[in-house]
Amino acid sequence: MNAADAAHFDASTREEDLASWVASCPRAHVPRAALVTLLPEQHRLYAGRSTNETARIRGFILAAFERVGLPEAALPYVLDELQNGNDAYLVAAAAKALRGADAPADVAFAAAFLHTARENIRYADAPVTFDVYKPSRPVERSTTAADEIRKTIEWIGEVDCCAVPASSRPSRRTLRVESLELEDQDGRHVRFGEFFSGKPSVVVFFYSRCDNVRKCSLTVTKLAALQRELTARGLDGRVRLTGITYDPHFDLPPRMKSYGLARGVEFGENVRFFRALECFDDLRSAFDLGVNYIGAIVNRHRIELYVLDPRGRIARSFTHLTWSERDVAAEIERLLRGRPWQNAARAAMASLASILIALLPKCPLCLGAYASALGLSGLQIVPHRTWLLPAALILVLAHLVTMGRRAMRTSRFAPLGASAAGTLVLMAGSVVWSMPALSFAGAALMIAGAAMNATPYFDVTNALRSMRRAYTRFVARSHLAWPPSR
Amino acid sequence: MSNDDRRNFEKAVRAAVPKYSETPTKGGLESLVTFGAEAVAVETSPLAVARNRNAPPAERAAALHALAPRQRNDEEFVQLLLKLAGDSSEPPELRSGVLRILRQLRFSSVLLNQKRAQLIETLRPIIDDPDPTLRQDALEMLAQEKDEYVQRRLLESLTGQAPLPAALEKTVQLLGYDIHAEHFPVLRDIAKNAPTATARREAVRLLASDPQSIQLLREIFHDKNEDQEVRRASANGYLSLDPAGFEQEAKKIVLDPAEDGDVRAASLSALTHFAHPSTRDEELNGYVEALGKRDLPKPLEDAVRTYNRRQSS
Amino acid sequence: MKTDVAINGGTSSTSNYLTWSPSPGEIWLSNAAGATAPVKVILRNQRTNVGGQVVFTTNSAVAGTDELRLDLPPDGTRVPFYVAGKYPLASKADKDAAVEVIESATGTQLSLTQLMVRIRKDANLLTPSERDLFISAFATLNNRGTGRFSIFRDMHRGISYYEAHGFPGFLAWHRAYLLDLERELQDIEASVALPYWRFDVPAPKIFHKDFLGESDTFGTVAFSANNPIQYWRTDTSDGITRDPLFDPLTDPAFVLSESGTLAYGAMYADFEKMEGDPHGNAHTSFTGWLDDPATSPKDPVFFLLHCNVDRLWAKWQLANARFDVTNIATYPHQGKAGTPSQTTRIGHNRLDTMWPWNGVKGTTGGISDRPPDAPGGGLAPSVIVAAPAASPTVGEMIDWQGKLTTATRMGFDYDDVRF
Repeated sequence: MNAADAAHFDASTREEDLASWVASCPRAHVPRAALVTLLPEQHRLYAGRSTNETARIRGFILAAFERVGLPEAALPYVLDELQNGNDAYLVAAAAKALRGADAPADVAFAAAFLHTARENIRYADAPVTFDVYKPSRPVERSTTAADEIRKTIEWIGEVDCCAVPASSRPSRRTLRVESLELEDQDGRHVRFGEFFSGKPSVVVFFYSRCDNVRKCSLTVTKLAALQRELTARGLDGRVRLTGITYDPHFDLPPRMKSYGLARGVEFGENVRFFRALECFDDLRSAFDLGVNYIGAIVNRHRIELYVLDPRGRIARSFTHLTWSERDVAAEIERLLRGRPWQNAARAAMASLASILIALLPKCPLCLGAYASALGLSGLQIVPHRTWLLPAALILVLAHLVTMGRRAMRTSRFAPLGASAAGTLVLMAGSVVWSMPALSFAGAALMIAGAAMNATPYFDVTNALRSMRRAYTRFVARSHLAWPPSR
Repeated sequence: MSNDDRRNFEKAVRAAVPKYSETPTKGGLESLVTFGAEAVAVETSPLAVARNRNAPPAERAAALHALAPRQRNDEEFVQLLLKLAGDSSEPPELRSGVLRILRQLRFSSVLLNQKRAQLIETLRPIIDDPDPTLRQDALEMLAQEKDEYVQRRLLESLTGQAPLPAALEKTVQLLGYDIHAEHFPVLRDIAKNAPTATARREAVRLLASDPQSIQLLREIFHDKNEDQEVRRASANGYLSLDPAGFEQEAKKIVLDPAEDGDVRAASLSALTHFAHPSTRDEELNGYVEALGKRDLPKPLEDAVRTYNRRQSS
Repeated sequence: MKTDVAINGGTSSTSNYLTWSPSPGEIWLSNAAGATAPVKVILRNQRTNVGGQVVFTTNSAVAGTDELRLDLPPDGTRVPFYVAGKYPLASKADKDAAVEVIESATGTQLSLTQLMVRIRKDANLLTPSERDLFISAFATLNNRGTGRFSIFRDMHRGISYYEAHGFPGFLAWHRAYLLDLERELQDIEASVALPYWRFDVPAPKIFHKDFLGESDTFGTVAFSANNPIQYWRTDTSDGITRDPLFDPLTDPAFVLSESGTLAYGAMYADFEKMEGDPHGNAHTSFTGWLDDPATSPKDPVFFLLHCNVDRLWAKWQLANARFDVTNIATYPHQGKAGTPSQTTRIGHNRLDTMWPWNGVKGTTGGISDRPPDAPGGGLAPSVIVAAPAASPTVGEMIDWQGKLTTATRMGFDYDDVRF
């Protein structure tokens, strides 16, 4: 098995060959990372394959994680199947995949998803097997989705936790499809750039002949609920809500309209469904949609919702898992509170203020430390003033309050933590023990916290994940030999 | 088992059901019962009759029918049904009758619906049974369940990789339960080349979901040499996929006196009920009004009358 | 001198549809022509030998009569009365019945109000005109797959199975389902009432190319070239697949007889067995779409089949006086889901609202198993009655005729189930 092979799999790969390759993957980091690269719905591997073949391949890959280990990057796909899946083979595979985690506690958060899957599949279960790929006859020994779910629930055991990983991601992706022509549910034509500008927009993707109620039908139903939520918040008219069909040749305007009306959508100037008849591929590429086709028929897709800023750029995407109207509405409100440059300017000003406060000398020793650090040997030492320490403490407190308020707004507490720690260390070094080195360390921490605060779109966790993904991709493609499996 | 045989069997079952409707579910020896010309001492509880291999299949099926309304969520009863259906040593007419009871329980039994995996497992081997009626019943039930395995088997048979498990027409029709099956290329081939009009019609029915087949459907709709049933099926699909294009073509067909009467009538019916008002223009209105004054074949006469009545209301 | 008559609280003829249940009416002098004393009038059928016939009463608890004499104040004060269809004389066409008001003293006609006694009938006995109006409305509702029929199809899928099947609320849910559909049909063609397929007797006219189609050897249903149902489309399927196991021209379906069904017992807990037989057996007397719950509403015959199921329930109710919804013999599960009184699945207790009309989706307050979406919104309203609510409970579907209180009548009746 060569992990680099994953990069070559495409629409022409025989599914049996792919299955053999998957079956040969050992339990090691690189192979599991390579398997993950095959899971995005839009991967060329699935182009032109039937829905059944696509499901077989994906299920076999998911099930393989039980053996090779479950990478974190596979979780969105696993959780998607458990929450939304209606195919017993895929749901069983997803349940098995969770058992590939290093320890049950690592996937304890998935317990709720397993319970949901158990309810979903209760009346839609089927006998499946992962012992043989694409069995040619009914097999003697098989399992079911319910069995696999039960095994995983038992493996995880009793849990009392946990926060579910977020299914949304911020973005600043520019779409570059301004000239793309769209036709709406009433047969009116408009260009993408013309419609998606001036106001924030919500874009969901759907198609009327989707047979998974938990995907397209629920997505459009929730879009209607979002419409009501925004109206209740007084925001209707300030935001656009749209659905775009994956199936433009079949979803003629009357069909789109009927589909939306049946699910409670109230169409209007700012609430429209579209099809992109001529250049759907451009749209698909611009959004990097999680969909694939056999001919004109969708063979696989994910749940996806995009919030666009007033300039038509993707501000946040919600994919794979069911999104909440409240979260989307909150994102809309965030966009409506100010233009991005205003937000950035505000953040920068707040951060600059924090930095200045952090840098302000708060005691005579700090002054001395700065002076020597700057090499200003001729600088007169500022005489000590009795008001200096209380004033410094007030400024430090103001600094922490500023950081704290920003943390509550952005849910990012790392900058606050750094500043608070820096404050304690600075006080210890300046007031308690008179250690300049400690004071410098504290000041440095405070400055670091302020610097982190000054970069509004910097998400440490996602940055680390992105780095890890890039690393694994690099490794998978690098033709390096790997240690033998354990 | 032929269709007539099955019909007669089900009639016999129906006639025998009242005999078992009021008897206890379980019980010991009760009385002598006459089966045919032979009087034997047997357990007469419905479950006992159902299990008795010496009892006529119609009696056994009738006993099961009588039990079904009250035992629909009973584990023992449901397991008996699944066992009988899957037992190839049981008579085919009994197994066919049991499959029908299982279909009935799909409507009313919570328990059976929770055992979908077991039901599918029971049905899959039956698609290879020697009896064609059983094969077709199992195929259809699995196709209704959108079973991936049966879809694969149906497609393999249509592409010549395996023998057809049922008549060509039925095999094609069964694919229609799940649009996601990868059948459009083979359907286009069948629509163009199948030996019977019925097979071509079944393929055309399913192509109504394939935007890439619009041109083919248009051609069939216009082909005066094609069977009128196939042309009408193509009209349906063409109308679904390209309503504006269909309306223009249908109008031409209505205005063509050399066209088949049924195809003209079907086209006019579509224009009457579903066309954009602009298609029902002065030219068409005047022509159809004039047609109404002539002697016409009945379907066209009815279609003309309906159109004129709609236009005047 | 002139009188005006308003029926069902309406001011236009759209309200002038009656069933066997008494409908409220009002009459008043719109032009007293100088009268200073009350004017004596007679309300009666305009024609007694053709069209639907009606009866009149001033007390809904008292049986109606062919004529009603009233005194109308000259100042135009409205005088209430009740009018109902005269069982079993239903209309055969829209507004073929009329209430004539004549002045008692002179015999002068003071007004004529056209109306219809609109009743659900045996589909096998419909006139060609009734049949054609029904199929035209149905085809329009379907609109080759893009119409509102898709909502009704989406209400009855595998994922929503337990909202409507396998539990005691089966009959109530389907009664609401049929009523919702019927009202949508009446928005298209007001004279239409949903007909029923009486499956325990032969019904050759239903399975005919001019009506709901004739099956070929493979179960594909053929229609006459003028029949708009030939353009029926559901999901991604064109046409209809229906293969009868019985001979529809000469035989009934393989079902329990009507008398056998009504003999299940006087308690609802016994009668609900009819979900298996005859209901389930009616479905499985075919192969094709009708014999699977998930695909059965794709076939228009489904609605006629279920109309008969509802008619059998109505007959049983009448035979056993089962209209008091608080009586466990009428409906045994009196409680509400999520409370200690719950005795059956959510959606099937008497006080439970029913999906999808209640708009409840997914898991709510710990009570799960609702389908993830709820297509279609509330149950369609009617211009002639106020019941049931847009989000009806199981219990609200019981007294369809308003036997115990006129406010619960739902605006439908059957040709052989009297008030």
